[in-house]
Amino acid sequence: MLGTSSVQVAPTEIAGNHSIFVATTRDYAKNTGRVFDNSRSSVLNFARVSVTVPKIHKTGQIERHKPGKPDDPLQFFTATDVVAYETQPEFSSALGADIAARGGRAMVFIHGYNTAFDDAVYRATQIAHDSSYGGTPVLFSWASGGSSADYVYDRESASVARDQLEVTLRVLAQSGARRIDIVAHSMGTWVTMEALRQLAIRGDRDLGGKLGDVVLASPDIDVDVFKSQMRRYGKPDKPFFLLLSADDRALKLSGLIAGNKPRLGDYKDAADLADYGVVVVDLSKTKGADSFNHTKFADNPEMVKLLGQRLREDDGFASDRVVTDRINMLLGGS
Amino acid sequence: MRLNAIFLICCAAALSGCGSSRYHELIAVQAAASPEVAVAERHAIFVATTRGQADDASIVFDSRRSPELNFARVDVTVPEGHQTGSIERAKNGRPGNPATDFAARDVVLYPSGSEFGDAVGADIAGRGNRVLVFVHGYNTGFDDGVYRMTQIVHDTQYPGTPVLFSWASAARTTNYVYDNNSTTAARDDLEATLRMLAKSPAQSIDIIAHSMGNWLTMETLRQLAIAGDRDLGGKLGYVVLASPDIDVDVFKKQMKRYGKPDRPFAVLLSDDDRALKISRLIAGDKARVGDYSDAEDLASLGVTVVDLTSVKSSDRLNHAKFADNPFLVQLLGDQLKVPASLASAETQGEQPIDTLGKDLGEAVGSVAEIIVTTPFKVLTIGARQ
Repeated sequence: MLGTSSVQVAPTEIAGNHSIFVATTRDYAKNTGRVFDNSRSSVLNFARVSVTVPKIHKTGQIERHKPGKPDDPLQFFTATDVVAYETQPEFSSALGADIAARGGRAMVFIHGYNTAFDDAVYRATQIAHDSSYGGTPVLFSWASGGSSADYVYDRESASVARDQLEVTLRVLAQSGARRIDIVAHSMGTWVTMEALRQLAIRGDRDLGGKLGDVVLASPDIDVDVFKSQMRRYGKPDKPFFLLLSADDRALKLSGLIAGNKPRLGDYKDAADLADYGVVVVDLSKTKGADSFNHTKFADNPEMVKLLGQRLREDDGFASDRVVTDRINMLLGGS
Repeated sequence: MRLNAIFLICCAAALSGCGSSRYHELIAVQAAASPEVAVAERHAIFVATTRGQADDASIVFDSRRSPELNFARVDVTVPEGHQTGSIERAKNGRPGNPATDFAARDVVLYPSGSEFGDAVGADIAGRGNRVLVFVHGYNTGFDDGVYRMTQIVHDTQYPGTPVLFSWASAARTTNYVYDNNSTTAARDDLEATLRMLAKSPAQSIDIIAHSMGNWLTMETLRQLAIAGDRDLGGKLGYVVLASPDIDVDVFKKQMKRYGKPDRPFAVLLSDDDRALKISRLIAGDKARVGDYSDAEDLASLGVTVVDLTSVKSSDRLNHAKFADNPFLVQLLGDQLKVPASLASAETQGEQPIDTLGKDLGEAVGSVAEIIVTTPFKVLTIGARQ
């Protein structure tokens, strides 16, 4: 991920420079350029990665340099610096300082299946950048194998990471954040729902009132499992947002693996889910940039802007209708 | 994209060779009154299940997931010619002939949890205040689970009340992920079942889990621990985890969250467990607990590992040895005879040594080379003549 030579770039030549805080259940890579690899660490590791976004960046895209080609911050997303924190307190104090400087807000992004560490960092950067998110971006990166053949390996890695996501959320709640938003994608929604569920079992389901928006994009969770998770969590005070798309090919494949049972992200019966305290946003009519239509929430330019608008709004409940109305306008063209 | 995984699951289906179109008729609905025949014994199996009620009443419960927990009691007779370790079954999943087969004779459906609780509580009170919960594995029809539980209580001569927790397995080898999701969706229901039993006259609640049922069991114990009630108010007895089909890293995390149990869990492993090797293939070549070789590593988490590799199984996948090896199932029965709380706790230093796992291992060692790992030391027990 990191180039081998150091990169100097003038601030005027790039569109943005983002500090992504990272809590990860991945192990350190032997190749330090990759930073973290696909193997599972027995402890939670902490880091901060600085990433620049080029001026030519198009909303919704991740401009990535080709393997073997030199880094070029003028054209590509470029990781310019990595700081590894030895201990959780060191991470907490760095994180706390950043959160304090950014209005007391933090957004945790939990990536999906088949996602290597660099993929996750760039996606978190793109979301923070394109949504113009003002708070501190935190990436929770679990040990995805980064290969599409590793579906079950990834599922197990996601399950292994539940307690550490809970720890990460608690660290955030104790680091001065007054509001913690969560954006989870694909299989990352399983880790997220599990962490929220076990917080609920412990009696702290909204992180002491600090839990903000929970956005579950293309959730790769069995519908019956999701319902059982929501029953245990209880109806949330602020509804969770579920972004679904009927043309999500990745989820159709995963439904096939699961014995033709629908995955949540590919589920038709939105009214059925609404009873559980979730707002379902159907993205079927928006275009995705990737042929699988599995990342629309982030790679459709309008969607990611709306997501940002939603996340920038500080009051939770009152404006739900406004945003869902806008989304519906965008979708239906009415 | 995920064709490899699909391919592996298809391989699993082919290798395990089970037909996927078996019937699962448990009981004849319009049976002519069957002639009285001599049977070895009649067992009342209490059932809590997340399966939906089948349209065909003879199947009773099928592979669909029910949003609510359903309750029943099934009376099953064991034929006189029964061989320890075997389940004598009618061909093609048809109801059994009591003279020659395990046969369900009566099914009672309880309309509510409280009625079930009353019935099971009365039975427990009459059987020494003990209850055994069996959580079956992957690829298991409702009938399969009922018969396996019957065989276990019969062959172990378990004195207490048998309760089968039956989750919605599709009973098709191709549905590995469906089954996995069914177990996950059933966690709160298994917790509710255990809590219900803890409120009954039961003083000791033993658990035997097999294969994928271990994921469900460990998840449930883990969430009980998160809720602050990990030993069911002191009533949790023996926990036997047979051929656990859980990723090793996931299992370690579950045990860490549970904390070191007061009485070690007994993990029964076998190196020649072909079903677990297949599931390891599906999971991208990461070890499953049930076929993990580093027993010491697991022992540090508070489990006693009993290695059954050298024990023969009548099932060619070697996946149900704990129940279908005649010697082993009787040993298990010997160990289960005394309630966990009363079992003589040998002590070493200040800590008691689990008797179930260790004694089981020693007993197995009397016929075969076996390694037993306690949380404190590794015992290698040679063949004794």
